[in-house]
Amino acid sequence: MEELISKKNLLIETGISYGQLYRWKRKKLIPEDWFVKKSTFTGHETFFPRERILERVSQILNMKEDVSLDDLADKFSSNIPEKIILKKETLMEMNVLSKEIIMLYEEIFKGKTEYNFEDILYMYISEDLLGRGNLSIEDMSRILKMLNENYEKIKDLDPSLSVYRKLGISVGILHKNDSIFIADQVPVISNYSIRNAVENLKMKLI
Amino acid sequence: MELKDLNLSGASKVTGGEYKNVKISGASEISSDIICDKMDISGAITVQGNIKAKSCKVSGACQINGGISSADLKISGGSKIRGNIDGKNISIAGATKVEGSIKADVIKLAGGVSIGMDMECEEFYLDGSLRSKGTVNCEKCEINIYADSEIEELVGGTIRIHKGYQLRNSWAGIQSFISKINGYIRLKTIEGDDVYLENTICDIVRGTNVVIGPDCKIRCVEYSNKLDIHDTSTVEEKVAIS
Repeated sequence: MEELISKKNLLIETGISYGQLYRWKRKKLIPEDWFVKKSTFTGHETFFPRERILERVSQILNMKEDVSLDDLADKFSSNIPEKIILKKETLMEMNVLSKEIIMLYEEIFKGKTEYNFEDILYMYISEDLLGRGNLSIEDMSRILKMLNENYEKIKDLDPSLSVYRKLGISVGILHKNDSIFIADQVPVISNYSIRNAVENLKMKLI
Repeated sequence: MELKDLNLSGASKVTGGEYKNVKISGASEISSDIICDKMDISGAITVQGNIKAKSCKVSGACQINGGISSADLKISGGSKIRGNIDGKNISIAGATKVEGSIKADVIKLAGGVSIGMDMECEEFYLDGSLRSKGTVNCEKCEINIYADSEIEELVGGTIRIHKGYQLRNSWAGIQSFISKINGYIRLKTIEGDDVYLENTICDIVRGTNVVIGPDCKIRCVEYSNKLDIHDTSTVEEKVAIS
């Protein structure tokens, strides 16, 4: 269970006001499902996942100076920034991804010389997952295909990815919430959050 | 393809689809989603699907079973909207009932409106009475109460709730007479930076600068900078937060 922070303490600790907090909520800088309502002895109180909200607030406060709230919202949303199209060379120079991954992706999708955000996201996820050492490249390409086909439908649902393996065959499952209840195998990859990947990548790229 | 206009009156049934301008009056039914530039329906129209229009006007006692998405939306009369509403400028007057949520830049409500879910906007205006089961989240809100109202939660930057006794026209004069007897607004929570309240009954008010004006009953106020309380109001518990 994640540690929670009450709204009152959040405001005291970060020095932000109610107006700011609710403005950010309206602009979708703070996801709706981070507002957890609980009843306490003083009535209903709102809580937040402590670590995530503190990090988010400091990110917003640090960037606010030169970025508009709408641009910022774009950064934190699960939407794909359409503007981003990078040439292979530029991407290699940016050091966001390793050369091996870019080469691998190039091999799978032959003839691509420019990459949009979605391509880069898939490379980023691949690198992240392959780095954990549990998946083969073959598994990965199947997972990427599944993501590619379903991303548009699931992107706003805060999807997670879990991968199971049985008799040498891996099965990838995209799901919401923390756990899958029925599985007769221990997952090879468990609850990998796609949204975190999107956010982390945006931080690195933009 | 050039889009066609749809003009209907009387009692007929049409399927939805894409049009340029739509004008329907009488007791007709649109049996599916409708997309158009300008929509104007009045009477007892039933729309089974969603409405998507650049501007949209609904009057009379219409029933929209889907949602409405329109930059410029005006609803008056006793219509019922079952889905969600989103747009830029939304004004709702009369005894309209919205079962879903509303998202817009500016929301203006007048009359005796009832909203089932949350409202989010930059500017929120209410003249009249409101029953809202959700949270109103707005940057700035101006509420003038003319009859008993209820909002679950009101949060945002600047929050102002006044008794609606300002005489604007003869109708408001009659309303003000009634409001002096029973025009209170009940809320569970108010949270904002600058809060001014009149005729408010609320469980908990939290804010930076809080002014409790005349005729309020508040269980608890948590404030971080300033708190003023009018003689005719009661606050059971005051908590200064630093």
